[in-house]
Amino acid sequence: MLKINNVSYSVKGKSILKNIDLEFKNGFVYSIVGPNGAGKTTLLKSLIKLIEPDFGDIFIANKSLKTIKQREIVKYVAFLGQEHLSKQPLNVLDVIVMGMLSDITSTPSTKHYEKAIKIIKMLGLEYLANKDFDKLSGGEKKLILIARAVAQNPPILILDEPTNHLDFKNKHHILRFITDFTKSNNMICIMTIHELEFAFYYSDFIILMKDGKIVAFKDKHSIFKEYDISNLYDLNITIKVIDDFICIKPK
Amino acid sequence: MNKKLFFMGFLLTAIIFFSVFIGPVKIPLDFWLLKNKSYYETIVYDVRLPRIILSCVVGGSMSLAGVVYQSVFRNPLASPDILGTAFGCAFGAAVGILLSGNLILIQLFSLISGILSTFAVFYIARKDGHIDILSLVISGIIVGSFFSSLLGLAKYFADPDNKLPAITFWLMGSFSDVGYKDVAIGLVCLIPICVIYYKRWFLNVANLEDEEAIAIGFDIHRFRILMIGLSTLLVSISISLVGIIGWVGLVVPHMARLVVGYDNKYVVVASLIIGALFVLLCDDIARSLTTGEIPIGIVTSFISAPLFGFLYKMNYAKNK
Repeated sequence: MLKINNVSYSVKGKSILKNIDLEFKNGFVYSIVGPNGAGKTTLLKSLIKLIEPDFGDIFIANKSLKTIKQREIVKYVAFLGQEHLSKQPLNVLDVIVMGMLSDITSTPSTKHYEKAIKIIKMLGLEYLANKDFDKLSGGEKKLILIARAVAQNPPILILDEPTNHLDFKNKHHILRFITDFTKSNNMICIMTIHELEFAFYYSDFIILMKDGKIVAFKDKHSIFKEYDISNLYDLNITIKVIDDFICIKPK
Repeated sequence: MNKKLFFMGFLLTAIIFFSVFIGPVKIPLDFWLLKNKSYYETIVYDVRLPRIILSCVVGGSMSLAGVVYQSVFRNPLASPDILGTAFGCAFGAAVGILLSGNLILIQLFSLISGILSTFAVFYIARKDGHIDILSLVISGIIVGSFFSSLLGLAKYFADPDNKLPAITFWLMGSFSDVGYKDVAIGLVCLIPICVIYYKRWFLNVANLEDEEAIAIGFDIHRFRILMIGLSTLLVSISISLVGIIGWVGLVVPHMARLVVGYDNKYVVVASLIIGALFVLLCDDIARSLTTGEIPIGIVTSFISAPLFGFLYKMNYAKNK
């Protein structure tokens, strides 16, 4: 369980997060949706101490994040940021092994590589095993980085725009994979995402964020009925919920 | 991969052996069987052997520092002088030469000045307890230019008949006066080399963006300072002992990558061996090509620049 308790954060007097209160339960996928600059990425970063909030606290399994060392956080949370600029032509397995970093003192041993192979097989990515990471396509890179996050073996998975730069098929492929993995391992998955229809289709709960505040936090079926998305984007939008998918039409 | 490294190690051993026989005095291959062997023994054990050992240590150290800088700065063009360490050392040596001709004093001044310049770089680059790459590069340029101007000043005030040539020659580097005392100091390099070797895999992780590295539990800021500190020590010790040997730290890591690929697990080892081999060969050339000694800095730059061009083309062809 992950709990964000009254968290605020500001940079140079400009407040980025304003009194955020959220609670996440195991076995569910959460999507954070909102316009650019709403503070979504900052919120995610606060969960792995890449930033430290000015006020409030975050609890992972009833432990305050303030008492967990930066090095230890990776055992609780795996974080996948937006940009990955590894220019080294490293082998895919070498990239996955980096997920076990806190377990390595000098160089990774065969034990670590065996675990990496196990993970890559479990994810059905063996066809990528002997390739160089920098020669993969954008979608394949994302999959390998998710494999690296899996290698950390954490109960919480945090993804900052896992779908950006990906084509339609890869978006579905990755989100399907993440949701299945979260459910079968009873994890928590929190991601930011810009495509409302994907957020609706793949997650259980949707969090609407604007100007550093949580505007709404509900299960996906009630959120679009009870909240008018037009206010979120300052744009006239009509949304129609049809069974388990939605149609969006800007006016 | 291990086969390649083993072969390179073998090659290095062979060339170390043959280097004993290279130089202005011809040494017969069976010198230890001769009657008047003490003459040859003096040359082999007291003149050539310390030179060979030190050129291997310095070559390995400079190359390893190059690997570290290129990984930590995520820039294939980074070299041991990116932080201005070379100018720091050079200025210290120039002051030493101006004050006295004592070799030990010159080395000491050079070492201290080199380390001081790195501290200055760290001090300027530090923001909120963190040091990021860009500020390191900028403060490296600042400190480097400052020491370079101080060096110019020292040269301007130097006596043109006596001290100025000494400074100029020192700047071009040489192994010609090397003895076992220098070897003993040079062997201090083994400590940073061992630490970097032990942590070599983490150089791959240091290549990630800061946030990504931290997100997988890597204390990149501490690692960066540790690695740069150790490499600076390697560079300062090397330069203070034998003067400025250009290009080695830049070119050798590229040669190593061409042979073993990009995984620093292997690049570190390959660079140590190739660096030792390269400087050893350059020193063989420096002492045997003409009757006098050619400064080694000239030999390394003369060979490295075209070699780098060749490697660049090769690498392009390989990745096409």
